[in-house]
Amino acid sequence: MPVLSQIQIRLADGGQPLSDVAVSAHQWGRVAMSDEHGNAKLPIEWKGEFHLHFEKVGYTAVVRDVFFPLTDSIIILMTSTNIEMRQLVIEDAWSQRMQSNRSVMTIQPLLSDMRLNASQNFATTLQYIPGIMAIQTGVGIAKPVIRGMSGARVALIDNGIKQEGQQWGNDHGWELDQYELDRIEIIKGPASLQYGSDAAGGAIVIQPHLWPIKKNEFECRSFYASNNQREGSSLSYKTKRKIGQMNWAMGIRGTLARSEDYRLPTEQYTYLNRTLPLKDGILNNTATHERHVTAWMAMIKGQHTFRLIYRKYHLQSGLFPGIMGVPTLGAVVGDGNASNIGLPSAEVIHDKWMAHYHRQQHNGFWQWESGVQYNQRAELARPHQDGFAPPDADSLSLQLQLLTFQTNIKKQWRWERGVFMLGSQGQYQNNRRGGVEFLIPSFSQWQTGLFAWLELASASRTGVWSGGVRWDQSGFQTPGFAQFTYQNGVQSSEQWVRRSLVNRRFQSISGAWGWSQTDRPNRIFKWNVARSFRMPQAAELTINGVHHGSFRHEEGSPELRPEMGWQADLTVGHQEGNQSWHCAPFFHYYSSYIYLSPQAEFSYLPDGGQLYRYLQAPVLMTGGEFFLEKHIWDPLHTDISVEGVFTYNQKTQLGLPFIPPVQIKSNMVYEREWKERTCKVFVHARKAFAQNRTERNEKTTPGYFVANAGASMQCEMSEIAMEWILSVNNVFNQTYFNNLSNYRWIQLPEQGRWIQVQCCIKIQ
Amino acid sequence: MKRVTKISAALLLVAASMNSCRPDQDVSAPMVEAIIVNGIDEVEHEVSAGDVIDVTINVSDNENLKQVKLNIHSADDGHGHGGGTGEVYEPNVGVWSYSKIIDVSGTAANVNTSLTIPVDIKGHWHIEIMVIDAAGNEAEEAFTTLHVENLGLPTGVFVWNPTISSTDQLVHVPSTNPQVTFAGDITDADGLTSLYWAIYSEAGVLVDAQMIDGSGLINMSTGNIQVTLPGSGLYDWTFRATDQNGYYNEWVQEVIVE
Repeated sequence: MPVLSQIQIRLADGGQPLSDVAVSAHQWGRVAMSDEHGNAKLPIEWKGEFHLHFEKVGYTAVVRDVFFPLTDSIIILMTSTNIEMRQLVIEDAWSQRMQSNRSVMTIQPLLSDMRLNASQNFATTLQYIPGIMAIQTGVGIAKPVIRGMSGARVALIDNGIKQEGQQWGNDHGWELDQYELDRIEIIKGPASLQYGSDAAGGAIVIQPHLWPIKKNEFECRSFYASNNQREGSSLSYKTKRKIGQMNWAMGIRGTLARSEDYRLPTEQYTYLNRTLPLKDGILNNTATHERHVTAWMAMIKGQHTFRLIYRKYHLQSGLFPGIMGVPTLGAVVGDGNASNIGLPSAEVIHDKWMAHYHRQQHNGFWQWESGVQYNQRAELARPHQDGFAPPDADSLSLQLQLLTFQTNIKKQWRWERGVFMLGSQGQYQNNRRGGVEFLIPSFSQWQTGLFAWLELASASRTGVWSGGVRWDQSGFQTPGFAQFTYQNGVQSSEQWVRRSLVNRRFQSISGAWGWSQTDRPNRIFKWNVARSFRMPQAAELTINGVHHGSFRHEEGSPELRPEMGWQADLTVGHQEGNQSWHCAPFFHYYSSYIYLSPQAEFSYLPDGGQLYRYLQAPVLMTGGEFFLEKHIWDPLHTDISVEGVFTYNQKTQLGLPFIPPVQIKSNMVYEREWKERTCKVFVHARKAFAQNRTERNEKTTPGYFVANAGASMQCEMSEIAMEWILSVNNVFNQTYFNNLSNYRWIQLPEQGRWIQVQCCIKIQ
Repeated sequence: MKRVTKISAALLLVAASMNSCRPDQDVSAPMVEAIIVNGIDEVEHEVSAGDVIDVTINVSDNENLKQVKLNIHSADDGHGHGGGTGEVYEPNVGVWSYSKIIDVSGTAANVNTSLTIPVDIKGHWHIEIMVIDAAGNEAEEAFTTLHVENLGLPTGVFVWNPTISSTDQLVHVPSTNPQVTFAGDITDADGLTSLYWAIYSEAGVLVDAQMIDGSGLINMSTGNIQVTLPGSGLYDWTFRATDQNGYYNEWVQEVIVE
């Protein structure tokens, strides 16, 4: 490989060469390591401006814009530090600019932290991060809550493509293999300007796979959790080659996991006002089987990069029969087999193909992304809605098949003081329904968006102004849905219209503007004001049926308007020596917030209780986080955060449902080298205060304290690296309710004490 | 910077303190004051199949009532309402489910309705009452139990060998000789149409079954019926007798081979 030795990396104090510094260029996702002379080996064919990141554990990371080919030699000086300075060093995946320039708070959690706090799914794993919680349905299904926003207000962006499944359901988790992630970015605040509707409350951005450091890299990760005997393995292989002028890399990962019935510290549950016993606290028929595959390849030639990614997510899960139809004792009694999946059950298959092309130019770049997704969800059950199932009905109660196409194009221009970017986003969706039950009809919808973005250093060079404007238009069409009813097996003469034709067009202009101070590297000072928007989702417009995941009859409102809001965010912080802190208050006001409102009428469906309808109201949301981290002693990392969200619905004068309570989170990690092994002992504790500010008929939830603890050990032997992690969750075996759990509605508490073991072997 | 920090802290404090704000809108749930069946307010009522019963529901709210939902459903499975589980009864005979939504208004209302109990049922049912007020607040549900007797259904007496255990109500069969014998005497004043019995394993696999023609007889005896069970485990035995009106009675018994 041609080598540019003009980049030398040295210690600021003394000038000694620094080896094993990871040098990466965001545009390519490639990493090179500096040698013993402090020289970084980079491909000579690079042309144009690149952001280079220089990172090494125990040193302050450095980010530098470098023009290739180099005309002068460059010396990078790095200083040692004890504190992790994540917020200062990362780069924004969307604009490919330094994150410190961005006025919205963005964090990039370390994979090592995520592994220590790993839970049974991606969303609950993130709960150790300030401002992040998860709405859960049991252990296998969850989606993140960012500052009280969730569902259709938090987007999952996978390599530039928005994840599109049946995300309207609280009980429908993200179709994502958490072991597949190399790097993620969490935007805590409005992101609809960048990523469109559905990112008004924030976004979780999956960044491209890291380029393999070695020619061949194998990884085997195995895991076990005691609560539901969850066990599985995830295997991956990465390789890189150079053929002529072409550098290419590819990777493949497969994950298999299974779990048995879920166990809870309770003896009964309540659904549709009926309380039934649970033998040994076992939720019968809640076993899961998971099979996921990801394959990717990337090619780089000169200034051109092309990536192709395929993901397949396959989840089969039993559904607790006690929440399907009118509950009876016979339905909740187990069949004696904890690992089988009987009826009712759900199967989710999500196939996703993504392509990405990037052309680096001297003064910016061109970028094109495109994705196709096919989400299939099927719920199988014995017919239980009296009157809707024909006598010869099979077990397919609900089927939803969503096909999504998306394309993004961006052009960026850079100059000395800033960046200007123009872009467009287009999406088309087609959804088909099936089965004897009805929730949402078949529909098609499209969205287009055009945006302009400006990032401009202030004349005094004390900070960066950033912001932009976006225009969106979308359309939604459904022919509606009607079905026959049955009485004593006899079909009705006329069909019953569950949802009539809906044809809507939406248009919106949104924007954002903010400031980030950059002249003092140790200081964080950002503010951002945004005018955000969100198009009503298909379910909000058209749903009409008993949604078993939320335990109620939900009814859409075809006349809903786009959800518009003003969002103001502030982040102040300081990092110096062995401590850092930041405080991030926010204030959001929505003039037309869409929410599910309990109505003064009962459902006419036999297994429905009170009717809930999607309505709009002016809503205020405010709150924030305070975070402090400190190395009390070199090997001991400690952090503590306080976070809270206050919501106020001006129409009802009540709070919104599923809002996290005020919480205090704390992490302590003690790290020590011992006989060429890296050992860690960690504790994560969370104190949640009572949530008494609830939506009408939503139960208040008492406060609770839960602590997790564990240890990990990493060792390297020649080309083999191993990591073991043992964690005990809910150490004190507390029985508590989580107001963000769907199971809270049926009086089910959270898991008792459970143990998790993870093992990872890497061969390079 | 200090000023900014103070402002941020103040905002967080304001957010936290606003947690205690209370609305001036109606958030009080309505109440079910009483469920009166045939003039009696009790937790359980003895009634007969075919009876017409008079149900009066007294409900109240601090501002304005909106709807009352009356729901009748089987109570034999031991479910409860209002927080606790209930009593497990003998399995019901026949199906009876009924639902009615009634509009109400004002701060208090008496809802009166007549219900005809089906002639072919026997067992325990709940009358469950739910109430919503005009603001959408939902009451804690209330219920009463109907114990439905039915003298018009076939009656039966069974003798088991081995006998039914008085401690766990199971028939215990030794695995060394997994055979069980039963004999039934069935009576129905209208005449019997058929007798049917079956034994299933716990996994739902049919072990043995038999259909016997009733021929309109008022009394029938099955004689001793011997069944060989395939191995250790729990088995479910059911016996159904159907009369000439099409009404049936059903008996169940658990048998364990150990």
